[in-house]
Amino acid sequence: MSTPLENTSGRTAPWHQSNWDLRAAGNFVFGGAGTGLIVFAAIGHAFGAAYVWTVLTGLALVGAGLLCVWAEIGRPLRAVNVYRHAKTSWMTREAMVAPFLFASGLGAAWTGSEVLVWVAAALALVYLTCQAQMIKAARGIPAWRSPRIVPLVMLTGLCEGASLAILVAALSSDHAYLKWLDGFLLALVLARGFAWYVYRSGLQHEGAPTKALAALSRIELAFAMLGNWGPLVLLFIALASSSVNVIFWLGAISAFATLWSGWLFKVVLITRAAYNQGFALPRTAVRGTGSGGPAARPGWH
Amino acid sequence: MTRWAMAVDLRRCIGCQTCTTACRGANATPGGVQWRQVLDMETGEFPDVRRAFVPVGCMHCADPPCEHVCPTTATKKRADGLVTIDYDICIGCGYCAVACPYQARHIVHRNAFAFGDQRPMESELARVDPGRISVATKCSFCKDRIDAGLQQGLTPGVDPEATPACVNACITQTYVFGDRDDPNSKLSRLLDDATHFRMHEDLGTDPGIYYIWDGKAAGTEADK
Repeated sequence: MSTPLENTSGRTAPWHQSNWDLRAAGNFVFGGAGTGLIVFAAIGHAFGAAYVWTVLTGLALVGAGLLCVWAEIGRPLRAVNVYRHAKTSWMTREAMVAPFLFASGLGAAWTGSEVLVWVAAALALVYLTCQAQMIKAARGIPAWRSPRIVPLVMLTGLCEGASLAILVAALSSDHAYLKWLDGFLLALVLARGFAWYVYRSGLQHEGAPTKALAALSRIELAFAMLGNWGPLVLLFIALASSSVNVIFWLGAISAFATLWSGWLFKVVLITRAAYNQGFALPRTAVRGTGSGGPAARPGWH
Repeated sequence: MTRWAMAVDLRRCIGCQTCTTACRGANATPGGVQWRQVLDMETGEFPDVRRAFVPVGCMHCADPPCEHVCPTTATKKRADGLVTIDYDICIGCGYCAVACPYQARHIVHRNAFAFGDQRPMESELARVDPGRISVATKCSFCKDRIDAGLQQGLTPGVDPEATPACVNACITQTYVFGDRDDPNSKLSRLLDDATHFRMHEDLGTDPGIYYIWDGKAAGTEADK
């Protein structure tokens, strides 16, 4: 369910959407991290790591995200209707991928099939794409509809997956391929940082509600500095080192920071930066004689 | 083809909210939900300040983002241009509400009454519709009136029985409703003689509400 009825009538400047709250954000937080983890379970397997618990953890996260959505919708008993519009709705497509993702993931864990784990990884990537496109298709929210949100959300999910894979590997004493994972995370964090600045500068350039830009600015330190560039430096040091302890600890710290910052970004994107379009007048009317008044677009940068 | 559309003459609107009230009466929307709103906007800077009253609601876009994202097909665009919602299919996911650039969609999870939850009026209780709770709702251009009127051989925009309630109620004739695809409709003729724009036209939704801000003589083709 959405937040309680809020009287928005008469507002002209953009106001924050009230239909998607933390529960919707939970779908992107858990879904992104879970699918990313499944992708890295397959990659880890290519380096000889065990994947069963990694895949199961990823599926559990995706399931948690879907439960969040289910708790969000107004008519949960009709949830099956979500499958009716695959032609254009990314929400339907996400829902359609989910059962195949679970079937292949569980099948891989049950049978130990190498083919199935790669199928699950491919479906996880498709699921992540659906989530990113779902945000972009919400054309009423300027901070979401930017095409640059797609790579940013996908890279965030993959960063979270690599981070979780590092943490799982660290916890399971499966340190053989930790350095490889650190390398993957470094490349992804670099790409995510780039995507973040492209996204933000695009919003500034194209225009967005002032409050949405301010909400994104507020996480610059936590997300970009502490959660992205900080881990990048640590990972670089870890990869340059030959000490197992350094690789382990710097990798784990970087993974934790990257994971946390990714979740922070998605929560802020959905619940803090989601100001709607508001209303605008390209001209004001001619009243009686004279000319029309100037344009009006309250609350926009 | 037919495309039902609406013109709003911003030169005429005085912000009396009669249309808002008429809509609420005709459609029995819950308290706090106004499918038809009239915004009170200020433009310019002192001393050159203008005030504009701007009726808004569902724009019945030709390319409606709400219809594209709806996962259930509850939101549909009819051949005559009306964007509709099937309340029996909608799951209330709110995706359409965040996809609409006009803030036209409302989802409420309980009925609110004019004088508070403890004091519902009989008339309000009589029209409570549980089917519209926790699902998306919005202006339908009074499609039931249009459809019933057409069955009786009436013309929407001409005959009040087949015309949206807000258009009928307006005391200044701000609204004109009709078929945009019919060059001889009152709507098309009015738009031909006026300078107008559509809200957020740059988003490419091809909205069905035209805002008139001046007569033809004062405007240019580029302004249209």
